[in-house]
Amino acid sequence: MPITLSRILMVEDESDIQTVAKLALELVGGFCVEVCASGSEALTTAPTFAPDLILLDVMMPGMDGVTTLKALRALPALTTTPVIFMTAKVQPHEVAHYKALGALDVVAKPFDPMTLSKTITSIWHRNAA
Amino acid sequence: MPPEARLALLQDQLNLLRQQYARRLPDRLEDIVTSWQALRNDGSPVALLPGLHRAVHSLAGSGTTFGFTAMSETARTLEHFLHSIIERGGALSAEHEAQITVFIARLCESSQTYEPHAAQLAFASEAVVAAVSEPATQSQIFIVAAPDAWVTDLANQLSYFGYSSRLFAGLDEAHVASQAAIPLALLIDHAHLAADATSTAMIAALRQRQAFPIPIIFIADHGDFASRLAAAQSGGRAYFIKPLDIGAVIDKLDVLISHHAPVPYRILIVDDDEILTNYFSQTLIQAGMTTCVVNDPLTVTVPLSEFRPDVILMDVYMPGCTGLELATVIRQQETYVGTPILFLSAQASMENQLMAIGLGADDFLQKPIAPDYLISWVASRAQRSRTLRFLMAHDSLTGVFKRSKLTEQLVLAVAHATRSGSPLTLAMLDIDHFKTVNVTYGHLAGDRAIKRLARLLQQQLPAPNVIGRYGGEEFVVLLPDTPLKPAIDLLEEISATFAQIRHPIDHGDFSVSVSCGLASFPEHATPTSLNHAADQALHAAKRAGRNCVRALSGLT
Repeated sequence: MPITLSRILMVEDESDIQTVAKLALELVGGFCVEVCASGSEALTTAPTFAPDLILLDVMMPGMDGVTTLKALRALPALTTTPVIFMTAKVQPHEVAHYKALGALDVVAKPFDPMTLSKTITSIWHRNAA
Repeated sequence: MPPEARLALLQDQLNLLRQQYARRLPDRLEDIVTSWQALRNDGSPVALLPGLHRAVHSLAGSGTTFGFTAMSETARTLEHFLHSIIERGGALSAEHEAQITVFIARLCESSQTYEPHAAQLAFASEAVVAAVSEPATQSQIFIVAAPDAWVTDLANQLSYFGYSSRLFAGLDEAHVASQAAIPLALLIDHAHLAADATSTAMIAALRQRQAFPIPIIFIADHGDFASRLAAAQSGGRAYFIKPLDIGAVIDKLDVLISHHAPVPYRILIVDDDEILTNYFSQTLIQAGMTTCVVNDPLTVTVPLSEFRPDVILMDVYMPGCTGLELATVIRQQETYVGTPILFLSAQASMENQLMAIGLGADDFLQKPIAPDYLISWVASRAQRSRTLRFLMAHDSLTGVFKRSKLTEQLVLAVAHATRSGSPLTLAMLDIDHFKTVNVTYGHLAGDRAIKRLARLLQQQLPAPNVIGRYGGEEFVVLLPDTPLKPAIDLLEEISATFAQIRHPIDHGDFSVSVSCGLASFPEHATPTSLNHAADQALHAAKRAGRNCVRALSGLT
């Protein structure tokens, strides 16, 4: 894990959420954000974009978040890239389940655009320490 | 760009997006309505359901972000409902169809409610920049007063009732300490305060340390109107004059600091349709209730006695036995006479309803039912059921169990101990020379002493211990999983504490002691023999000179 977080790849099928999250992460967090609308798109984009962190929606048509995570891990450049899941209504046992799958943490949807960057940053620092 | 400017820019962009979203929303809802109609007309809904699910999921996910919270919640409920139908192969019953139609109508309705949530509406740059974690709330009371004997005494008396406190000579020190730990409440000696703007501002700052203001109680030398007004203006929730009535202060603290998070309502759902029960259950859970689902009405006995529902929600038509028959069986058992039964039915004729009410039903809810209606019906019934049950079981002076309820608990506790082989001790307490207290200090003073003892027992012996008042000045405590020896130690400590509590009267105060008798299971293996043995032990304690604890061990 690099010390500072700058490049974020977001995988989210919902165009409204894409726009809000991208705005929030770029304007407030000052991150460089790339958006993919599906898991398969993420598989082609991720190796060239070389993100520090991947934000992954759990529920997507076609390839869902968990499948996408497994496929990403199979790519040599992405074996260790940290992943944060985004999902609605997170129960504690679900968070534990996603962490067991290798996710850094889970961010609840809907998120507050004003504080999303802060949430992501604090998860990042907590895990870097 | 400075952080404030970036946040402001984000706010502008979000407002634009919100407007766009709101403009597109009617079309998206129209699509959902159309695809639902198409699906119902089509012979094979299984293939079309995932598309509808997808569209609803999308609304559920985005609505809240753009200020359509109510719509998002309805969409979320519908999404789960559709999901469980798809998981079970996609077959739609007439009831399911009707329920979905209600959901979609509610979805369109709730899209009219636009309420951007506070975090997005207010430009809260301060909150974002300074969103450091709040210090943990501590279970301490801050006392701000000049060091004096009465202050030390106050702290001592508070400690008997489970409130630990910290003394501060000045407001500034208390303010600094509150940065590290938020106090449960503030007790401020009003005479000690300089009546200036600095004190007022500091009190205001202290109060607003967290989302819920810290309760402030003022203590004063005089009860004149000007002082009371000044205290109230500073946000004082109560005002006590020296010498302090500790009991009254404790009562006030108990009210201001609610120790107990509300216990969720328990709802038993009996319906053979798994998809519908899933929806009812999820909806009620989201409203903060606890549910227990029974899909086979013939297996209701165990959940009924173990889950102890506040309300039973029941389908009328079920295989094996109808809801009406089941209600009859439940109502024939005395324990459940007061438990409300709400019937759910798709086609409820007036005749059927009347018959059901005759058999003990409390209400009829028409299926399909919208989530908010379901929540309101069930919550209001559950609240009444709880209140009634509490009043039936508890002593009005002290709030502990009445004799009848305690006897019931004793029978259960002995049954449990017999089954599990675990220990159980019964303690009987009686205030010494209580008649003299009543005659000398008056009945009100006597009642207050009884209340103090109940409060002390509740505080020192929390659940699973059971406390009851046998009437007059006599209390009984059940201590499950507690053998005789540790129970004696506990009761000796409590008796010693009680003897130290001073009960205020007009001019001065008084103290009283208690005598206590104990007996344990399995030496005394039935409710009657336990009761009898503890009573004998109590008499032994009285004969031994009172203010002591005696136990009856061995068979007698």
